[in-house]
Amino acid sequence: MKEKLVRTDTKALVGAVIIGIVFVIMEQVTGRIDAVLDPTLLLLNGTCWAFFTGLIVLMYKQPAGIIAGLVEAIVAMATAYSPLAFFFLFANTIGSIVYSLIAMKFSMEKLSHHILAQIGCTVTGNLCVMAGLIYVIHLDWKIALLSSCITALVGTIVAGILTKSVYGSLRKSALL
Amino acid sequence: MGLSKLDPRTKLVWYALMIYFSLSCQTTVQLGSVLLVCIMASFILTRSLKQYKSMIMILVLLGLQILIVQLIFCREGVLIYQWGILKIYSEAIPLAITGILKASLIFFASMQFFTSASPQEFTLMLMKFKVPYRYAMLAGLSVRFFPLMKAEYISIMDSQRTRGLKMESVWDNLKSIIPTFLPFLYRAVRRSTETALAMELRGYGRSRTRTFSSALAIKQYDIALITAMLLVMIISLTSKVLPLI
Amino acid sequence: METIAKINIERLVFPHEEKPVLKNICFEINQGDFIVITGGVASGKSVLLHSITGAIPHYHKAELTGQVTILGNDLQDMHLNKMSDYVGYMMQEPQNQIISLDVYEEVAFGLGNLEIPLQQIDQTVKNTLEFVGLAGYENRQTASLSGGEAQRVVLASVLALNAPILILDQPTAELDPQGRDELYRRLALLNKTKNLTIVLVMDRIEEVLNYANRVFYIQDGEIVRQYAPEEYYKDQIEQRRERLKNNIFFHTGNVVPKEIVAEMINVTYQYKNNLQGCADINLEIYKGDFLSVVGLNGSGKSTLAKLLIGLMKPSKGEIKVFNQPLTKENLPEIRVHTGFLFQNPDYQIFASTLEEEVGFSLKLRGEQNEVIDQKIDECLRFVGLQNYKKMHPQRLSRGQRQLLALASILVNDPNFIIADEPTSGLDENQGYMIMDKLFALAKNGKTILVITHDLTMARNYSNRLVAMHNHRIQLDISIKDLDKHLATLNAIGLDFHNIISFREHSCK
Repeated sequence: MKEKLVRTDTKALVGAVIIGIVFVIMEQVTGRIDAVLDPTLLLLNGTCWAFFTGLIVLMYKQPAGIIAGLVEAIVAMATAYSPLAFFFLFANTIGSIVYSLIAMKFSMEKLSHHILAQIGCTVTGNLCVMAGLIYVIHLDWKIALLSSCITALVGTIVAGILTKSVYGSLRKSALL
Repeated sequence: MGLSKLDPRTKLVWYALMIYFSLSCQTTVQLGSVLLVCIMASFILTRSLKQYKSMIMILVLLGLQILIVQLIFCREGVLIYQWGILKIYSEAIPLAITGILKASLIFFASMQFFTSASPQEFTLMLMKFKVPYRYAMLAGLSVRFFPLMKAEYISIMDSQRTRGLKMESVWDNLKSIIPTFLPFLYRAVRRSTETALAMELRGYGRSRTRTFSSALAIKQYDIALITAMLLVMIISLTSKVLPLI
Repeated sequence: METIAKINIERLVFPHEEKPVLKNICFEINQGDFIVITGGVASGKSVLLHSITGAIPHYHKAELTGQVTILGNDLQDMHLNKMSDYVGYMMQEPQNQIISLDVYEEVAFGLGNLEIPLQQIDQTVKNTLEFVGLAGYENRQTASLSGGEAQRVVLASVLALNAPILILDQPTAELDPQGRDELYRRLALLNKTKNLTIVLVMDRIEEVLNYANRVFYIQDGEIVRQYAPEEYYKDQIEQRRERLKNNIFFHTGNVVPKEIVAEMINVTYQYKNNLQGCADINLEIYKGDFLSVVGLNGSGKSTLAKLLIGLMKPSKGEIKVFNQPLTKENLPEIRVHTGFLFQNPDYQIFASTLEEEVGFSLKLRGEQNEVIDQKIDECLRFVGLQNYKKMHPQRLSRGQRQLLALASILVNDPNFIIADEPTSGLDENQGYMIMDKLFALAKNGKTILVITHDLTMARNYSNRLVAMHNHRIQLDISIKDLDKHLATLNAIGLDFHNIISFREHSCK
C-alpha cells in the first residue's frame, strides 16, 4: 500500500517543483479568465486547482503532491498573484493528502474513482478557503458555504473528467 | 541594519506574528496600525517599497469585491437602505474595511517574507528545522525555473497562434487553454526528467548531508528579536484565553 | 591503452514494447578514447548513452540483458547518485541541466553533494571555470548566460567531479557555430591533455570528427559498423554529394524569382526593456525563394521571423505579406497562407495522436471531416510518418516530432513557410531530413525562409543568403556569390571556410 502513496525519488521531487510551477502559471491564466467571467465564484480557478492537485498526486504521489501545492501557494504569494494565497498553503496540503488517501484505495482506471478522489479533495480544499472567506473578509458563513459548495461541485465533476483524460494521455505518451 | 543581515528564522517569526495579528485583531485601528508597522519595517530595512507596487491593483480589485459582497450580503447592524430585494445594513462598510485590511496585511506580510531571503537561506533554514537537504534544496529550483517556464508558456501561445488559434476574447482564451496547456505539461515533464537525471548523476542525495557554500549562524540580536516577538504573541494569547477560563 | 569500460548488451527492451531498442552491442572503451556515436532517426543512440551512464535501468525503466561495467563495477549494482565517480553526463539543453541561480553554485553543486570541504570546492570551481574559458564568471546569474556559455557552465559542473569518462548527448545541437567551435575545442583539449575518455552522440560532423578516434554507426539498435574517423568522413561526403545532386535547381540559378511574397520596409523593433531586436530592416522575399537568414545568437534573426508572422509589431516601418499590410484585420487571412515552424516542435504538439495533431488547424477552420482526413494522410505521407498515425506524438523522436510539426503546418497548404531554426536540437541526419522536406516544398513553388545558424545547411539548400549582425542585415546575396563574401561573413563570426575546407577535402 505504501508504494501507492509515497515516492521519494529525485524524479518525483523535481517533477513536483516543475509541475508546481505549471500549476501556478495555469492558475494565473484561469484566474484572468475568471476575473471577467465569474469574479466572485472563480469556478475555472477552482477547477484548475482541483485538477492539478489530483494530477500531481497521480503522477508523482506524495510528498510530491504537497511540495507542488506549497510551490504553488508560495510562488503565488511571492509574486503577489493572489491576496488569499496564504490559505492555499493549507488548502493545497490538505486537499492533496485527502486525494492521495482516496486514490490509493482505487485502481484509478474508472471515471468514478477519479470523481470520488476529487470529492475528498475539493471538499477539504474548499473548506480551507471557506474559513479564509469567513475569518478574513467576514463573509456570512451561509454565503461562504454556498460559494464553496458550488466551486467544489463544479471542480469535482470537471476536474475528475480532466484528470482521468490527461493522466491517461500522459501514460500513453510514455513520458512518465 | 539591512534586511539581509537578519536570520531567516527571525523573518519567519515576524511573518507568524503578522499573520497572528491579522487573524486576532478586530478593529480598524488595530489592523491599520499593524499594517503600517509591517510596511514601515520593509521600508526601514530595504529603503524601498517598489516591489510591492504590483499588489496595489490586485488589492483595489479585491477591495471592490469585498465591498460589493458585504453591501449585498451583510445582515448585521441596522437597515439603512432598501431598494427592492437589495438591503444595505449599517455594519457592511466597517466589515468591508476590516476585511480589506486583514487581506492586505496577510498579502503584504506573505510577500514580505517570501521575497526577503535568498533561496539558499530558505534551504538552510529548512535544514535547521531538520528537513533533509534533498527536500530543502527544492526551494532554489522553483526560483530558477519559474521565469524560464513563464517565457516558455508565452512561446507555446505564440506557436499555437501561428497555427490559427485565436486568443483575443475571453471565450477564445477559454478555448485556448487545452491546446496551450498540454504542450506546456509535456514539456515540463520532459524538463523535470532531464533535470532530475542531471542532478542525480552529480551525486544528489548520495549522502545524508552535503557541503553548502554558506551557513546560517543565529546572532544575538536575532535571538533578542525572536524572544521579543514570541513574548508579544504569548502575552496577547494569554490575555485572550485567560478570561475564558 | 587500458580498458575502462565494457559494454555488453544482448537485448534492451522498454516496458510494454516487444522490439528491443538495443541488441547485440559489444564493445570496450579504452582510456583516452574519443568515441563518436552516430546513426539514423530513433536508432538507439541516446539509449546506448543512457546504458553507460546507468540511467538505464536505474532511472528509465527497461529490461537489460547483458552487462555494463565501468572500472570493473557492474552498473546494475550501482546507485545512480554514485555514478559521478565514473561518468560525467551532459545533455543537449543546457537550461534543463542548470539548477542553480549563479555560476558558482552550479559548478559547486556536485562537489557539495560529495561533501568536499568548502575551501577545496572554491579552488576546484575556480580552476574548472578557468579551463572552460569562463574565469571570473562565479557571480554571474545563470539566467543571463548565452547558450554557448550555459553549455560551458554545464561542462564545468560535470568536469569538476573529475570522472574518468565524459558522456555527451548532442552537446552542441542548440549552439551557434561560435559556441559549437568553443565547446569542441575544450573537449579536444581535455581528451589530449588530460587523457579524458569521451563518448558522444554526434550532432554536427564538421568539428567533432577532427578530434575523434572511433566512430560507431547504429542502425535499429545495433552497431552495424565501426569506422575510423577519416573513413566515416569520406563515406559521409559521398552520401552528402548524392543528396545534394538533387539540389541543382537552385545552384544553377535558372530560376529568377520576381513576384514579391513578403517585404519589410525600414523595420525596427525594440523590446520593452529597450533591448534592440531588429534595426532598419529592408528585405524583399520573392516567390520561390529558399532564403536562409544566418547570424550568431542574438543577432536578431528570430525577431525578424516573428515580425514577419505578426507575433511582434514593429516599432517603426512597415511589413507586407502577400501584398497586404500586416494589420490585426489581415493577420488571420495571412496566417492561413503562411506556415511558421518553430525551433522546438514541443511548443505546439498537444494531441494524443498524430492525426489529431495534424488536423488541428483544419478543425479550427471548420473544414469537413473527409477533407481533413484526406489532408492528414497527404501531409503525414509527405513527412514519412504515415505509419504512426494513431501513435502518441510524444513517443516519437525529436526529429520525428519536428517532422510532425512540419506536417501540421503543411496541412493548411501555405504558400510561404517560415522556419525558425528548424534543425536546432537535431543531429545532422535528422536536420537534413527536415531540410530535404523544405527543399521539396520549395521545388513545388513554395517560398521558404529559414532562420538558421547552420551554415552548411544554409549553403547547401538556399538560393539566397541574408546575414544578420547586431540586429541589422549585413549582407543579402545570392548563394552563387557566397565565395566573394567569405571575408565579410567571417568578420561577423560566420565562418564558412570550415565548410569549404570540408568540401575541398571531399574532392581530393
